[in-house]
Amino acid sequence: MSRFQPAAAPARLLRGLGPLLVALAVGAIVLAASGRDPGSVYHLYLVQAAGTWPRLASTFAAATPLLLTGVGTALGFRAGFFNVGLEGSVYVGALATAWVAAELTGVPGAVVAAAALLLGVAVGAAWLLLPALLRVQLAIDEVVTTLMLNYVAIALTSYLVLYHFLYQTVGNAQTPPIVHSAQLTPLVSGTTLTVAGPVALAIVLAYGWFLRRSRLGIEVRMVGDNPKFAAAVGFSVRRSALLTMLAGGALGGLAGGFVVLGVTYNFTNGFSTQPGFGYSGIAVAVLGRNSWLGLLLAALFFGGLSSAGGVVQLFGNIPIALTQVLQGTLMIFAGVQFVRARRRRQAAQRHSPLAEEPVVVQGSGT
Amino acid sequence: MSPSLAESRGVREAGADAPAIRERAGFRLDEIWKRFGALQVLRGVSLAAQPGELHALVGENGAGKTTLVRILAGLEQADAGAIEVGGRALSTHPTPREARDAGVGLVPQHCEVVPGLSVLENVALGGEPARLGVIRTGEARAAAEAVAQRLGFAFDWSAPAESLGLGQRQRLEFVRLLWREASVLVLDEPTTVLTTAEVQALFSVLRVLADEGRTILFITHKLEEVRQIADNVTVLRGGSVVGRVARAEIDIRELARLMIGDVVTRPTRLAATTAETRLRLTGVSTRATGTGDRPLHEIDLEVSSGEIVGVAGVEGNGQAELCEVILGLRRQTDGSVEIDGTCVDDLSPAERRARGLSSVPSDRLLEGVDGQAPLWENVAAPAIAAGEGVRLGVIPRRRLRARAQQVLGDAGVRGALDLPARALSGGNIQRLVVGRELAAQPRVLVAAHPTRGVDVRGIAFIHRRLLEMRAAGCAILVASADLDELAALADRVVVMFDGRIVGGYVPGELDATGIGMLMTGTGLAEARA
Repeated sequence: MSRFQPAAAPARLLRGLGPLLVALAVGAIVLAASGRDPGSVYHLYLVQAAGTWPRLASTFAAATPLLLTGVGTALGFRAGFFNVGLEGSVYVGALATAWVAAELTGVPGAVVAAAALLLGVAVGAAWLLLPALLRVQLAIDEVVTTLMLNYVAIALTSYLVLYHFLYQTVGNAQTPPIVHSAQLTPLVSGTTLTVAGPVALAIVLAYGWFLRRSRLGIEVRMVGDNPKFAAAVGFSVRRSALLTMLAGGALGGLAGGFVVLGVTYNFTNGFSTQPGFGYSGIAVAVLGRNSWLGLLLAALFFGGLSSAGGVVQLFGNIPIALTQVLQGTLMIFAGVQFVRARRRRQAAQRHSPLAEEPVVVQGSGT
Repeated sequence: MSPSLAESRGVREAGADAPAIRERAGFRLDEIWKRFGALQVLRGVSLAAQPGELHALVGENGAGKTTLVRILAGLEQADAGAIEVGGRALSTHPTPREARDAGVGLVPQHCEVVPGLSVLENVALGGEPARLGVIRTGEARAAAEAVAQRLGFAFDWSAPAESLGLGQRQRLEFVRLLWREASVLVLDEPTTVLTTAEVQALFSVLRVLADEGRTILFITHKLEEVRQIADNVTVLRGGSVVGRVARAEIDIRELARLMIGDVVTRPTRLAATTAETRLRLTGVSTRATGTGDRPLHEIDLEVSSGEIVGVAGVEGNGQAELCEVILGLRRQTDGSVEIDGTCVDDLSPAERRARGLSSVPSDRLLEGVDGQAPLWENVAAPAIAAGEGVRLGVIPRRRLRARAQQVLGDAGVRGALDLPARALSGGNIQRLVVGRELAAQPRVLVAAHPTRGVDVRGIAFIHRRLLEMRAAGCAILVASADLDELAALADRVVVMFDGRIVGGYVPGELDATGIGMLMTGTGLAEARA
């Protein structure tokens, strides 16, 4: 007989929506306490985030880097590796892109843009090579290493810009502007929605397809669900770790590169604003429960919050802090679920000899 | 706060409290109905047992046994029906806590422990004797020790609980329940994880507990055990009671007929064939990794094509580690493993698989399937891992699904291809695993406890398939705690004790006493295979 009842679809949906509803409730309390009508404020948010085509395009544009970092983070989570280092990849990838796009002259703009993005992706991936190797060779906790490397990346890029690549200091230190022809043109005028948006959307869809239909995707899923079983039938835990962490870094680099080419047109220290594209990607992955549709909805929600937040502040006399309250509440939930998922994983690995002897599984097999 | 102190005292003086226990014992389930989705699992089942009664509940996988006892323990809620414990009615939808307070204690098939806590802390968890909020460890230890001694168990109380083997975890569960003064003990297939000797020890414990006035309800597939110990038997089939038999009238053939409709016979052994050595271990040793596993010491073992070699031993004497070394899941510190005459020490599990090695793991939920993945992916996993038919990284989905459908059909697993594997019962998961591993036409098969927790018909199926593989020339290593199973399957048996192979025998040529001596390390090197 069946001892397991698959959670009914509505129940699962509700679990995903739960954090969102609580965040909105907390926001409503804050609003009501400051004498505003939550209903009309939320209505204003909705209108500003999705009321017109240009506003929707803005939301999509704001969601674009989060989609990329969300997928990059979810890949690692799905394989059971808690890679939280995409923030660092965003920084080093963005700087690499800005450097190529500013220095490479005498070739068509499209070539510059492509070369710049390519280097950004490569550098973003390379940034996480060390923690990935430490994880597979010595079983060193990837959460600690990737998290710490984020601060290294922010400090390192800051140093490089200040001492080797400074153009001007307006507010923050900046690199020279990129070649004009390499700038990505907005698809909707007045917004920063560029070709990056459709690319990010395609990557989310490809992620869903990858997990279902590709050999590596099934490997990633099975290693994530049950590493002992996966190893026993011949999947490689080591390859999954390397693949998902490096691909995550590459997507972080791509996110940073797209921001440089389509939004800021240079690299500015501290450009990945609070709470940071990489960190938001963690929240997107956790709240989206690593499913492609969940990632899409979560990224659009965060994108909507930030695209509407500024306008709402201007027109609705609502402090931007409210937007931060909503984001912060969601991040707390994401944090809780992250820790719970990690505990489950650790409990599962305690039974696995692979947890103690990471070198047991050798080579990739095929 | 729970009355833990009083309880622990009560346990210590259980003899004196026997009448009190007797008053709280006994239960009655009246017309219990339960449906899961489209599946009507229970159809008005009524079942009652008196204080001091040992009641056996038998039936095939899927007959509704586990659901019924989970309802009694408050872990599932019945759709309709009434529950009475110790003469008092429980509420319509009792919580686990209500059932526990009424005296019901469930020993699940796979006993869980809280990792990171000691054995003693696991026993006392939630009922620690305390004064002013400070846990009195000494008192807890004395109380637990008293319970354990009465049951004839010995524990290292300060050891980490996760280091306990399955049999030990079950004993720990008994101590926990008696600590809490359970008057109705419900055991879900208690003997599946035990060796013959352990089963006998368990039975004498059950008899003691019943004589104290407790009611014991146990689920089993093994009809021989029913005859040995049960006062009354209830037979479930398809969610209904199809038979109630009192001790005097127990007839195994009749019970088997009631359970499945036809009488099962064990497969007979074929004449041994001899051929080349397919699997050879020379001087294999391992180190312990500090997780309660047992190091192996200089294991020498050979299995030829067309031969089934059994590995007997008390659970936790190195059988699991031996299987892991062969499969490449555990690295040996010394010695080597050869498949078909080639050393495979440096090969990954995948590469060993590619050389014709297959395995039926002992813990099928942990090692045999990915519970979240659909059935077809679980069947196809080795083929996907080996990259069969993969083009540009894309799996041949339609072909894999068709093949999975056939494998599942052959193995008698009922369930849609897209059903997640964890929705299957344990017996069906085992059928899936066996079907998958044998479909690969392996040259060498390592099977650990291949029929543990499987119903009679499933056992017959798995044994028949193993013997067919043997006839087809496969070299098979079977580790099992069930000596009858080894007798039915193996051409010869080696016995493991404390990480060593301490002897061997050919089934039928060594009696139970001799085997028992080898397994407990008392008759070393008596009869080497």
